[in-house]
Amino acid sequence: MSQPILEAQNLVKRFGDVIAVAGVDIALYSGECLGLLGENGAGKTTTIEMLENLQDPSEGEVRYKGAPLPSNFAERIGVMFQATALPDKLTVLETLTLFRSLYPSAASLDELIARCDLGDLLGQEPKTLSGGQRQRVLLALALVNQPEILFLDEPTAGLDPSARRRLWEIVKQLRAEGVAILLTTHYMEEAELLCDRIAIMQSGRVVNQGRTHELLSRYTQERIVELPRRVMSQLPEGTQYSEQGDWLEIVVPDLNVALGRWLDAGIDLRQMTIRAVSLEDVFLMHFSDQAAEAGDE
Amino acid sequence: MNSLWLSQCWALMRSRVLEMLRDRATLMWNLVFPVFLIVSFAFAFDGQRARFTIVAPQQFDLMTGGWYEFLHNSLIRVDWQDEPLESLDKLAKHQVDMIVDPLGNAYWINQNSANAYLLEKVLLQIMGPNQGLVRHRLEGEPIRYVDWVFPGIIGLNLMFSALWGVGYALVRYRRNGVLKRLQATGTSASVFMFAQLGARLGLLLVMVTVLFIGLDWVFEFPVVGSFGTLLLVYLAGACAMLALGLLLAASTQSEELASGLINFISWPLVLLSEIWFSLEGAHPLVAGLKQASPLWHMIDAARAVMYDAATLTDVLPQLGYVIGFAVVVMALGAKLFKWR
Repeated sequence: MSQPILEAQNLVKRFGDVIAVAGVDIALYSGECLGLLGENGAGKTTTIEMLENLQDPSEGEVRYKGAPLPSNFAERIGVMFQATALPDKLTVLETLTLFRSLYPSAASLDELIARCDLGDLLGQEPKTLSGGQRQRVLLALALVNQPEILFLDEPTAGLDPSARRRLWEIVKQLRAEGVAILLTTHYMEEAELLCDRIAIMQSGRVVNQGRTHELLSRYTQERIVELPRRVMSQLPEGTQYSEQGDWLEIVVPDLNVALGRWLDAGIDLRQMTIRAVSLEDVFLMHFSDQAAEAGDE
Repeated sequence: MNSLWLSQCWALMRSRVLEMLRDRATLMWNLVFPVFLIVSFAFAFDGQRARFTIVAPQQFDLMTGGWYEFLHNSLIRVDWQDEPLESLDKLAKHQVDMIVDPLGNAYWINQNSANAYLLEKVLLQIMGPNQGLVRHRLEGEPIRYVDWVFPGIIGLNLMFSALWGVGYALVRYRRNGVLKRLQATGTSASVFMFAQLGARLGLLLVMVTVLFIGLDWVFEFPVVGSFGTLLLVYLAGACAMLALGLLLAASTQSEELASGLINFISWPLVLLSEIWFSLEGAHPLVAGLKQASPLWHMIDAARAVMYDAATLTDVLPQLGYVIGFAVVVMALGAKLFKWR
């Protein structure tokens, strides 16, 4: 693999006695989208802010193309924060113009407007924008300097499905153009669709990392079976399941074997549903394993 | 200072001015509030003072005779001074009605003052003819309360606009993440602060000019000094108040704390800066504290320029203090400034 455009080496961040990030190693390559996943409080945002050079690490280093971060690093990155307000009284056009003026070279206004579909919004102030429109403006602001690296911190949080899909299309296009993208999201469907690689963070550490399809391929044999809760007492001893409302979710390594045992036990399978393992299942399985291990200890 | 610095600064300044101009309610309040105050004071203190005021020397306090009878009168308030002739300016502005020197058998009056005319009649009646009284006359138009309070109201408006316009606005931007977003562009803190201060300063000076011209047109203030010097005084004062706003907001995280700090700083400044009334004769501690207030120095210098024709050289000490205050406080604010 070529040299990463951005690399974190043993990043640590302490706030007093609290360790928010406890030694993170991450590499990001041009033209790829890396998903940084984890529960709330896992240290994703602090990690990203150190990568963005907005916070100094307590230990470790961030390197750009193999060298320490240049003084004009901010000119090479685009940032879309999790929750950012736009200047109250400026129109979308004025805000774009302001941000373009803050960089030595900038994308053309027409290109930004077309890419983020802002044509109808240019004269509007932030208070009149919908959630999806606001996110598109924030994405346009992240792109005004034609960044090589784009940081997207939960870009589609709270958006309706169609607005999310519109943003995904823009992100896919940017990735195809060679932009390196670091994405955090709580939507596993989004991560599965957009990310080439996934890093899962827990308690300030990256606990699982790999290509998205590799993570999923570890579970190619497995299937997720959902059965009604009423069959719980009939399940053979030792069957692992998780309760999801009125349903039981069971990860089965070999579907044929499992079905045979359940039929032998006289379980009514007429309401059973079967699906492949998704990234969300991997994510949840990972955290339930961790919780179980912690419980054992 | 390179071209990117200038372009960033200009862009931020322009945006801030646009935001301020579009915040119509605040803008109108900044213009209407001082007009409301001035008009109110003009009506409230329109009448003449009910009592006659005479300045007399301290050592005459125990003296008897015609002068005693003249001065010990319930209609007359006597301001006993070590150096009565230092009040000649006040006599010229009708702020006192007569100055007397019983030992020298002399008195001073303003020949344009009706009160002085009446007092002189009473004095001559009491003293009787052939007393060898020496009369000194001078001329001068009266200073109304509204004239006196006007420079203070302008100063007050400058102070509140600067503290809230820069201080509160910065904290709000910090809270809602706009500052963090700007930090991510690589814009330096110095560019950002310079732009904020520049934008507000420009707007403040335009507002002061509009207020000044508008109110002067209505009330015809007897301004005798240089408008250029006056503008310099207000410019320096505005810089000091903006610097104070920046310091208060430098690392404050919440709008509630920012409001508390602004009130905590502004109200003592208001009370100590002789905006509404003179602190002459106040406790020495108050007089000492007054000297520390940049607002007082600005207002005092503005009054001196407007009504005493003070020159730039005359107000240099006040200007020096105000500019020094602005530089020190701005440096401190810049050092403490945090994007988040």
